[in-house]
Amino acid sequence: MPKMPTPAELLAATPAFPAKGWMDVKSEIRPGNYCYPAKPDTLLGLGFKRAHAWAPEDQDWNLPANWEDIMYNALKERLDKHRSLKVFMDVCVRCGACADKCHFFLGTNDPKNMPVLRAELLRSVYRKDFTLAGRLLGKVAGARRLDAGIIKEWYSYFYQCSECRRCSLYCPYGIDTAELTVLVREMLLELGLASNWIMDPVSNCNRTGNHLGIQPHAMKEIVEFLCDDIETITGIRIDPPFNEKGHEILFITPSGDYFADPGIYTFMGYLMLFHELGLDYTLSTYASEGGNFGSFVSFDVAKKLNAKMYAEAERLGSKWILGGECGHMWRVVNQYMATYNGPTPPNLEQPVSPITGTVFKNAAATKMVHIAEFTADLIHHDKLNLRPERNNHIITTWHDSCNPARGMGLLEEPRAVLRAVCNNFVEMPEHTIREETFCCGSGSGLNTEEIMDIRMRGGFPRANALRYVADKHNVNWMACVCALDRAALPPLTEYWVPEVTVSGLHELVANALVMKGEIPRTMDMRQEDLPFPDPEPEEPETQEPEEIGTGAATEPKSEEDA
Amino acid sequence: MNVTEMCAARREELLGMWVERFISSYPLQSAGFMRTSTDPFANPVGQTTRASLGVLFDAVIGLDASPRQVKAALDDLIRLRAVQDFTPSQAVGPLFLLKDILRTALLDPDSAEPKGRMGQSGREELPRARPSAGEILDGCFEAEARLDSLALLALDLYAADRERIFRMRVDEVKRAQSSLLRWAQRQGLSPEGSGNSCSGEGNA
Ligand code: SF4
Ligand code: SF4
Repeated sequence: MPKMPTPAELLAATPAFPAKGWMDVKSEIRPGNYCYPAKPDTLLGLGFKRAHAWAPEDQDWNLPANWEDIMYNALKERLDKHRSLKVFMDVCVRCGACADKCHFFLGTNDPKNMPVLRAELLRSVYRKDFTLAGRLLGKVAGARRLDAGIIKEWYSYFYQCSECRRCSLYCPYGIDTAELTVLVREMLLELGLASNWIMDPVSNCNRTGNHLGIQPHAMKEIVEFLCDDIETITGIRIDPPFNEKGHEILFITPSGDYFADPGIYTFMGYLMLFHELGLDYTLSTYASEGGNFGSFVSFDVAKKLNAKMYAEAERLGSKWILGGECGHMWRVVNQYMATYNGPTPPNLEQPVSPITGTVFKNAAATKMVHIAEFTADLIHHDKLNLRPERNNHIITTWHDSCNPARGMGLLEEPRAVLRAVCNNFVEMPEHTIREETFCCGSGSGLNTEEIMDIRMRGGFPRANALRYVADKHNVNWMACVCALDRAALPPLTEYWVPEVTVSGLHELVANALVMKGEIPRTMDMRQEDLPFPDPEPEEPETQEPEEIGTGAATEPKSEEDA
Repeated sequence: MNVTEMCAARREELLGMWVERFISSYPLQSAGFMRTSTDPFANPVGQTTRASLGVLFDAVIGLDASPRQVKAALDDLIRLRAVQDFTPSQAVGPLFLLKDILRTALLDPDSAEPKGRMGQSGREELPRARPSAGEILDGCFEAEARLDSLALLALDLYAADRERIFRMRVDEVKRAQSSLLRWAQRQGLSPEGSGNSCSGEGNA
């Protein structure tokens, strides 16, 4: 009888990673570690001519016959077009400062998820074709010839980068791996390789306006349901304008806020706030996706989708654009929009808050204001009647979404809003928040269910910091201003910190907002009973808000940095 | 001195060896980082592993341990390994490797004797009476039985974690189109028959 292996032998026989150099380790494409491919029809409809049927687990990905030339030219073209790419390729000194900063590396401990090595996956090919040393010395100079295995490796590892840019914060040269990731995904698109979760919404946004491809009439009806819910909760009927010309403000939010739980509660919050302010605004079904799925894969597609915002603002004659709680939408607006689609249409003006008169100078170029800035300004000028005690059962922390935090520096405004609407606020540990925030693990189009395991390990550093404040300070809530986070964080918390609920910022604003003529609130935005309901109507109107819920708020007040 | 005390006296060394077995299930290039970085937020996998194994070690060698704490520690460890691209045996298996470590430490006459440690006074403490071979064997079996119980519990936790992942995948698709599903119901339509392109399943 053959000898039975010992446990140690058994475990050693299947090592997760051999002790070879990284170039010799081929990436394995297995179920659960790749994104489902985009359908050929979807890509063809968007003008990607090399769309074809392929299956990631097949040996042969049916690449076009001259795929090597296509890739060579694609890289050459991008090196000419993006000076930054050439710099990023040449300047890295392999200091390793970025190596342990990527949440995917920290969660997987896979060296190819170190940002420096992720970039090296492309850089090695660049060296071979575009540097003398690489041409002459090959592997010795860190160069390698492109082969089909490398294409698979790219599809694997550039779809394990959430374009969060945490690594670039620590790089002495500011090498932006997120930008490299977009460029490699762009090159893969030239071979007809892309992820369904990204390209389907791109196609829907392109044709219909929102990421699910919902027709305008259905979209309007869906918003009416949400208005029914608002009426149930507040007794107030809201009838938001759609596609109407001549309003001062065009409001654009990610379409996840219209359709997805828990984004819908934040959307209801926007509508309640606007109603209470008597804001002169309209929604649009044409520009109904503020998020830009194109930005995950291609600068050209991003530009095309982004153009809808200005086109619609021009058609409707709006003066400025107010944008909802979104992440990558704001990276595009803040970093690319002016170059992509500027100058702005002539009817757009520098945004001024009609309620406070504040001039949003930061929005001079794009004419777009983030709703967290808008609401923080209202609160700063004491324009809202708030009853934060309604949120007293919540001990919240704040997740800085990568794009608003690192891409536009939106750090204080949401915190100011959160403090005003919620009495119990606890920060997660330093180095895991603000500019250094950890990604949800699902950004840049990785929010797809078939790679749930990858997302769980990528999001582990975030969850680990959350878990700390949940254990230590009884945190039971995490708020954020990003639609993808509102989709990605609920499974993340369900797996790692089940006691924590995820919401947008304006859901909590809506809970606290005292509206003129509303009924006493007994329910929160999710129509769950408020533990600290409003007093009965016979109570005098003038009651001080401090008295409501007094004694019931057992938890510590606004606790700073744990 | 009994087996529990013998192991406790060499806790750092033996625990370190066990942690090492876990860390070596990660790629070679990363293992160094996992060993050296002790910040729980900068090195979450390494530190979670270390913290959990510390609690489990004490339970296995027979020190007083609260069952709730032990279960929580095992839960942390398995929850992590359940999503780290390991086979089930790789995920749970290194737990068993503590058996070898303890056996070698206790039974090997060369390594069995804890090194005479320096006492408070600076003088070498006299090693206390060593248990008989039979007592050591008994102690060893008891520790191994405790480890077996933990491993069985780990199987349950692993399976529950995997089930949770699959449930989350389904829930996510539903959540991503919650208001659309409601709309379709009101129209008397199933989501598939709504006439709209719902093809971006799972999109948020
Ligand atoms: S951009 Fe974010 S996900 Fe991508 S390599 Fe850098 S840290 Fe990792
Ligand atoms: S921090 Fe910058 S220079 Fe240093 S290894 Fe990383 S990418 Fe290269």
